[in-house]
Amino acid sequence: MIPEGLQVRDLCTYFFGRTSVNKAVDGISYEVRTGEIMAIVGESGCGKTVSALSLLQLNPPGSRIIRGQVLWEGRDLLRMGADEISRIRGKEISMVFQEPLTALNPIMTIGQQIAEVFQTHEGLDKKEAERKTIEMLEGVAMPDPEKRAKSYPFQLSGGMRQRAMIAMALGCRPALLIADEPTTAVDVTIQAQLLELITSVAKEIKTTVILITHNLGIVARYASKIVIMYAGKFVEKGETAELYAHPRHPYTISLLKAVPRLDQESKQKLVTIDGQPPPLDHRLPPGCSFHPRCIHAREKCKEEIPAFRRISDNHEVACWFVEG
Amino acid sequence: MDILLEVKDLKKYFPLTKGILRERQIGLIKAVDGVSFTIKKGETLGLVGESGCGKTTTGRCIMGLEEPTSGKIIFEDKDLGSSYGLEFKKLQGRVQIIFQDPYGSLDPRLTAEQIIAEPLMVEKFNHSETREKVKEVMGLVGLDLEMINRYAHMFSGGQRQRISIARAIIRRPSLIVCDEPVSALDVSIQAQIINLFMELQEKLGHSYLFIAHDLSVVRNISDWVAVMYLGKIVEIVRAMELFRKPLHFYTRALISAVPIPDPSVEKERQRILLKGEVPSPLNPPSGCHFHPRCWEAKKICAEEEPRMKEVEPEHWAACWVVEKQLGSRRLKTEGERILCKILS
Repeated sequence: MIPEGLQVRDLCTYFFGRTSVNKAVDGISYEVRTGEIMAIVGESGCGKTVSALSLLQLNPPGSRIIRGQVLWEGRDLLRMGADEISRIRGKEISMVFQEPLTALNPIMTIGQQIAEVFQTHEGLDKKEAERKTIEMLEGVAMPDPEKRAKSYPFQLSGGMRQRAMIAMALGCRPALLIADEPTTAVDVTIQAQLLELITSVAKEIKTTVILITHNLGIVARYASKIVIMYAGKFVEKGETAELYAHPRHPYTISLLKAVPRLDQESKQKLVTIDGQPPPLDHRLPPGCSFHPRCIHAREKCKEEIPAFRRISDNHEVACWFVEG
Repeated sequence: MDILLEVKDLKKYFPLTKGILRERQIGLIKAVDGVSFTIKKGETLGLVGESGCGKTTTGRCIMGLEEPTSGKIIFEDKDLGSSYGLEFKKLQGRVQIIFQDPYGSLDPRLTAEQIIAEPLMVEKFNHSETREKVKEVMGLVGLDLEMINRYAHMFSGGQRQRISIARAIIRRPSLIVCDEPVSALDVSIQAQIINLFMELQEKLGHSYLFIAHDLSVVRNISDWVAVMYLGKIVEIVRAMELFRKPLHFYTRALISAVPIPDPSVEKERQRILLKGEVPSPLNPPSGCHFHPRCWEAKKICAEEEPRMKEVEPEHWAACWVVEKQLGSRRLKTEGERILCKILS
């Protein structure tokens, strides 16, 4: 039987500089079941975007996928040739990028760009593709869809651009949608509209969603599973409710307390994490990458990299301190 | 408590022009359209709203970086009035500003010391006095004194924002306008800077006008929160009450759009989804600017503009429906609804 959903095993994507190696993604493994919404959370530069791009062999220039498997319905996406994977991109697996202005083609109207998806993947002729494009734009609540289809990306607001991108991504009923910070560039009321749209449509057509974000509130609201990423590695993963209720990794614990909450008393001192996130060139400390900022760090943390350990059915953590 | 800053009916309109050789005005963007508020000594007013609502322009007017179209800005009992530029110079650095982008707002050719000491240039301090003062504020904002001769690009985002803060406090201003000071920072660094803002206020006793789009951040740092929509303030309330008792329907939608990082709380929350996008300030809707997106809008909302009213003690809102309903019965707010649910 072909296992359903997505399995990622020991994925490593490194950037090679002249003298240094940046381990942007360093041995991450996870599984997402069909229809689940999984969130990858981390601060900037932790490798969450590169990890998602690598799934579709879209890792940025200068980087190489060193090893790992990305099993999608029994096939390894990383072993596919260029032709084969481009048939999957945009059809079975599609992406919503963070900054629609750079992700969209500036010299094509958004109508043309969306229609292209239908022409390429569903073999529709130009007329039908255009008709379907307008339908999709209506579906994602684009105001005045017929007029907007003839607009270029720069003529639209950030929210409208992101709607166009979502229309493009959902157009072929993808089985997996990778949303990379889909709402970081838009206002909160638009953010709520867009996320509500993505998640409700995904539920309807049973699309699996990988949601990359730094916003712990969004995760709490929409995701059923969460992984916390730090310096190219996962440090904790589990079901959202369980992980928020009983965070175990010192990084997760402080991260959750570092965000101001609307429902707290105001004028509260926040918990801070000393130091800086690891530098982008990833000259990482030996052992656990978090140990220089960790209040519980001991000798062992500085020497050995902790492995994942299951602490309950739906909760795993990689930390020597939790081991006891 | 003493009032430090009073803004009365502040307006800032930007003309929209067309044509290169013969410029003609084709419209007016009402970026700030009749905004009034006060800031007391030692207190923080948070100004929230979505992009384009005029919050940054409001801050820039107070800083004297924009000349207001009309309205009064009374600072430390002095009316900055019409000759704003001139009067502003007399402020002698009593008002300072911190910008959002810690990368763009620091001169890359200056060292940390030169950047921080810049506001002192108008006063006649000799080199060692200046250095003494710079060292003192660097200590206050938690910067390593060894970094005094480094250039801006050698600092991380969080450290740069500390430099901006050091520059802002070196002349001990009584008001600091902070324009999205933490939105470019990562969560762990953001928490450090927010704490720093609060610690400095405790030590030095200045006031903040804290402009940001992140409601949770603003609420955490502020005593009062003013919510802006399309050039107007729609609600002013104590930060503590903002979540418990929002009145204006835009505020309610805004709050419900901000997710709380706790799945058990999120499950119980009511979600309000607003229709459509924010209209253009070039051609704002009639009456209450929010009425096309408001689910409670009545006939009057499209016709007449609601005024700010103190609908409850220390709680101002500009909404016809709230005004009417509060006259008869009070509305249950989200906080109360949750409470009722827990207790029942």
